[in-house]
Amino acid sequence: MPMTFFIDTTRCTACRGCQVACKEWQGFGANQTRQRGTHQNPPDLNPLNYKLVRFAEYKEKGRVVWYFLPDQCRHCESPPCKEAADSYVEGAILRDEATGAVIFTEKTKQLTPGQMKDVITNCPYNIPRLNKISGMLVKCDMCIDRVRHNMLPMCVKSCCTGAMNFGERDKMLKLANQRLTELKKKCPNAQLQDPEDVNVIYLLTDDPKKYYQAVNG
Amino acid sequence: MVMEKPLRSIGAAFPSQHPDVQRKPMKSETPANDIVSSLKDQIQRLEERKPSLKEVLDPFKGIMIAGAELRAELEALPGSEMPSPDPIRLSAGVPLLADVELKKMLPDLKAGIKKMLTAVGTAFPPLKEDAARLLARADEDSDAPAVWLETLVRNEQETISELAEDMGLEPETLRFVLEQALKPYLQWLAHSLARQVEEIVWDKGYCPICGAYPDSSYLKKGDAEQEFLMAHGGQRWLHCAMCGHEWRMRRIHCPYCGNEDAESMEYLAAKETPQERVYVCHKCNKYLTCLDTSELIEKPPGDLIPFELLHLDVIAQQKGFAPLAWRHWNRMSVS
Repeated sequence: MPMTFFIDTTRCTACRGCQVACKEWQGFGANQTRQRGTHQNPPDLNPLNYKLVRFAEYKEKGRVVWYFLPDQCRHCESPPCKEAADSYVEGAILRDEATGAVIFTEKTKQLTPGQMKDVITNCPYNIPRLNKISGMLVKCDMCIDRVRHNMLPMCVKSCCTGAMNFGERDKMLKLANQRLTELKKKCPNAQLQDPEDVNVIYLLTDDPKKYYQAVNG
Repeated sequence: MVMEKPLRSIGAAFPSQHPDVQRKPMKSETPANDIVSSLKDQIQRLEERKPSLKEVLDPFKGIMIAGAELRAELEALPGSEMPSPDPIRLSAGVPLLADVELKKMLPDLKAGIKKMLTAVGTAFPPLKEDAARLLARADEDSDAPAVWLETLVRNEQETISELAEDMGLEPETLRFVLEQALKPYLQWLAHSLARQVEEIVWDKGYCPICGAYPDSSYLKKGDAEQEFLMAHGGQRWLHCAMCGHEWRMRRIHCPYCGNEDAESMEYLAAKETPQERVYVCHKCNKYLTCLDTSELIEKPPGDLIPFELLHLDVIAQQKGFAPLAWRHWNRMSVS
């Protein structure tokens, strides 16, 4: 059975512990950034950030409202990135049967720039990035090295609020639906994002577009 | 390595007054079939994670699966007579089953004993004949298995030796076969009695239900969902070597000698696997393995944790420490 993340954004305080823990585990260095008037930093996913807490702020009824989205690869049930890559280089993108993790391999180096662009644009969630130094396409690998040893992905381990959850798909779906039912009482627009299609299921309180344009594919 | 003197004779120091007996419904919270399939699944995953354990696990897994199947059958039975705890005796450190007549609490053991003794004989072919002799004895005397179980719980070494002599078996072999064959009944009893002891403060290193020492421990996050921050800290739980009951214990406390001096206790772990630990006490020279489950996706069943941490038994014994509970898989020649 595939493993699934359940990300309860109502518990997320945007501490970015997951973002930093991911970088630490992957051994990535710092990004040079600058103040852009937002807490979202760095501005986008990049080869040194497979995880990014996106911030969106709005003024509603005289109040500032923040939406936090710990963004990452959704590890789709039928990954469109893999479909695209398979037609060019077999084995460039794999889906691990045991965990459901979608893995970009060294073979992504063999894709031409045009083919890479095709893979990137095929992702409904705008996740893959090109590492110009290694020449590989990169993204979250579900911490497959940890998961195979029965250990939680780093972002889940580091989460101190309970926003990040991880486990077998049926257990996570059950948890997600329980939380949704509870949340609906307070937030009628609450919804789970594409729970049938992906293995990273977000619980959102409001219109998905308010979080991030590509949040719902 | 020399076998340590067994450590359980707690009940003997107290009057043999039986606790009140009352009828309690006993229903498992986990569906019966799930216990078996989950155990099979977890064994398979453990073998994949640690292929080196295959040789040790191979004979025991057949017994564990037969035991889980038997437990699933037992869970489906209607309620049985269970003792209610005597808070005074418990607070004095007397385990619940210390001097209880187990026969009153057990269903007919005939079919179950046959299943388990067959499983032991299959897992360990040299013991097939011994298992068959015990089965024949159980056929002759239907009360015998319950008496054997009482003997094990009370750790009556002399009775075991007498029985062994009577049956022409080695006492250690007899003890091993009986433990393996009767453990599912003890686990079932412990599961049924767990709720009765969970409200009681128990700060002993031995099991509040059967009085045996733990064969492993684990750290886990608190269960309660917090409104804001979620605790990552680990509560320490000890797993009974005999009945599988789990009870919470302070972290800085030696379960054997009660030492609370942090300077004279430490834990050892490989740099690559900090979640797999062995806690040692320099005061009494005992050790207890411990799995920090706080960053695990799924906690392995209590019976599998000792196997998962077997390499730490080797390290601890090499360093001159002895386990709290000698098991048949942690008696090794180490130098």
